[in-house]
Amino acid sequence: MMRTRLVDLRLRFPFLATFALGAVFLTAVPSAAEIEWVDSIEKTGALQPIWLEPLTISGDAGKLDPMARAGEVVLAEDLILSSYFRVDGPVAARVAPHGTQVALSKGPDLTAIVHGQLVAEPAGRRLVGRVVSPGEKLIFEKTYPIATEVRSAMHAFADDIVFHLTGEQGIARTRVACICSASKSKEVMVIDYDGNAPRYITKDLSSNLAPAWSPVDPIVAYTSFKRGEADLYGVNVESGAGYGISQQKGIDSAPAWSPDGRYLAVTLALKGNPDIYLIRRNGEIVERITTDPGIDSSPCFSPTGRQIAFMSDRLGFPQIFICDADGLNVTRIPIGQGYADSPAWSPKGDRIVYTARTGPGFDIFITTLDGSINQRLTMGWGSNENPRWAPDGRHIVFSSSRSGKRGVYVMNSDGSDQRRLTPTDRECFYPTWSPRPPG
Amino acid sequence: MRLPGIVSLLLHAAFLAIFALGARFEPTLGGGFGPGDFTPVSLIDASQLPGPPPRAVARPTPEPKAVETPETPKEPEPVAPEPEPEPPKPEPPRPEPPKPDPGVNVSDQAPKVAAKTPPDSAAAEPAAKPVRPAARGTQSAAEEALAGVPEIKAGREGGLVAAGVESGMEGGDGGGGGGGGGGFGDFGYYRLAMQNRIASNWSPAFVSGEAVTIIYFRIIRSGAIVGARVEEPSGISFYDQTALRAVLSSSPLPPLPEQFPEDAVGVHFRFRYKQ
Repeated sequence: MMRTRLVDLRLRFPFLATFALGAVFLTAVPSAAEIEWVDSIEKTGALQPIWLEPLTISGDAGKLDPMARAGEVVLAEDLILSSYFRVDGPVAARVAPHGTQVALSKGPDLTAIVHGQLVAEPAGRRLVGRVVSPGEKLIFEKTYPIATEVRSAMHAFADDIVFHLTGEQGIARTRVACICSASKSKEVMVIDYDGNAPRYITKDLSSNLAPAWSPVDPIVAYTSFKRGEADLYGVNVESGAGYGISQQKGIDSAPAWSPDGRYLAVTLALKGNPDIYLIRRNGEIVERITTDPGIDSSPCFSPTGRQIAFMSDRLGFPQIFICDADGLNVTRIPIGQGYADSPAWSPKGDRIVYTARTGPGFDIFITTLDGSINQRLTMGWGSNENPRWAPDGRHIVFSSSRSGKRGVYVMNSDGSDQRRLTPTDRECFYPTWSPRPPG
Repeated sequence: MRLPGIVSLLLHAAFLAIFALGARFEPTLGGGFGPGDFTPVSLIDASQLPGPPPRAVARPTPEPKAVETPETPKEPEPVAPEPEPEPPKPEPPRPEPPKPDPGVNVSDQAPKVAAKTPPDSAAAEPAAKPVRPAARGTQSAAEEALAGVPEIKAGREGGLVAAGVESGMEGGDGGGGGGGGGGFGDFGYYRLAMQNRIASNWSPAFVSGEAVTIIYFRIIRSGAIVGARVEEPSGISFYDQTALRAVLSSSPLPPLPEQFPEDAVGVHFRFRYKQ
């Protein structure tokens, strides 16, 4: 199945077998060259085989039945997209990606069976979700109210299934924001994580760029040219209310939130050349983080907030650097001599995904912080850029021109299962993933 | 005057010994993201665990203590790569709702940003709650079950669950009456989830040779891991601590299944370091 294949690096890395000998061996470490990984990083675990029963109904069949048929598809897709499960059963067979094997009878290896029932009562409609063991022993049961449409109840049930069967938090209720072309402008669009319900949340009638979703509230910060030059704005995803964040002289761009949502690392050009600054949510400058005469841009915080990764061309070509949040201890991630930009730090903190030039276009790579393992995730289908992490650290969203017009795509963090998220009839790019909803 | 000479001689000899011994550890690296050798996982009969399976039975009921095992911080912890706890931020004030910048004329209205308590995405290992001590009766039932734990079969063919992790269980199926299965019985998914989660928190890098550490812990209904401790040391403290930390940082596991017959389950989790 998906046993992780690892490039045999022994001999290339005479590493510390013991700490007592570390110093001795370290002297023999060759410089870490770019090493292509062959397969998975994340998939050290097996997919759990689970069975999804078609949803049943209780009550008004005329209304509930279509709702159940739609709802079970949402649920099946959520479970498949979570990348924790191998989903079997007739519903999964209808929605599984082409080429996926789906069993239509219950095999001996099943670990859980998912039941759902839509119930219509005078008090309202609800979903009763129930997960049992192969021997029909209850794992958990929960009721979800259905307000108007069935999707959100299904997403909530899917997240609970992920939690109960894996202990991890799911992403079925998250969203992605990106920039999409409108008739004559480029606006911020929000779309459910599964590609449903795309909607514009700005009407700036200008070119907008680089949205960044706050980790603590439904605010997207972005760069807009609506007043002529690049300034920073924020928009509330729920209400659509906008506000200005930073309008310094020169560019204000590339916002990145601190993990607590109190600060933004941004690129300003107060001294002429672009440098990274730390600002508050209201635009007040806290400190200048980089001072190099070259271009420093594309900052992102580590998940602890202690460090910042950014792009700098101080060596003459764009490369990824890491520094402390106060700008000290700058080190370059040694990942070759080519163009590298747009770093995004993994939620677990152990990896950075970024864009690198590969021939005429760009591709997405993932590296350890020391650059010792550097893996390519996209393979030359058009240009692939601006990767950002999902809050589960298992998925990456990015833009790609593989089908001509740029679109926003999602893949697993090992590069597998790449799929388009945004509508094909418009150009979309610069994605950013929302945090999970509270609760 | 002679004494320092002798001490110096001894120290040199010790260093040479370490060096010679260390040379046996052929330096290898399987890759920074995971263990070098992904051994197919199988569950072992707890009664065959090296060490004292019967004694394991005689262990006292879970102490309503914290998860943190007593001996954790003795050694200097050499491992670095884990993200550290939340850094102290330069400024103490609470998150302010973004206001329209006064210096800027922005026509847009100010947003209604609820100053929610920021759930820190990075940190937050939820601490375990105190254990509800399992009833004595069930405990001894579990003990009996352990005495002849049958081999647990599910999950073997799936193999590849994370890196040479093996586990045997006590407690379990049927609360004394069930028979058949032992461990998680019909809830095989739970073992898989536990293995995946612990393995994903385990960084057994730089291992050479072979070593086995067994960590014992209990899982209570909420999924919290309590009473984790090194049950069977590998002889190399660094490995033991790495394994212990993998367990501790995996708490909480998923809640125990609703129809799980016990209030807690004890797990002997075997980490096999092998290159």
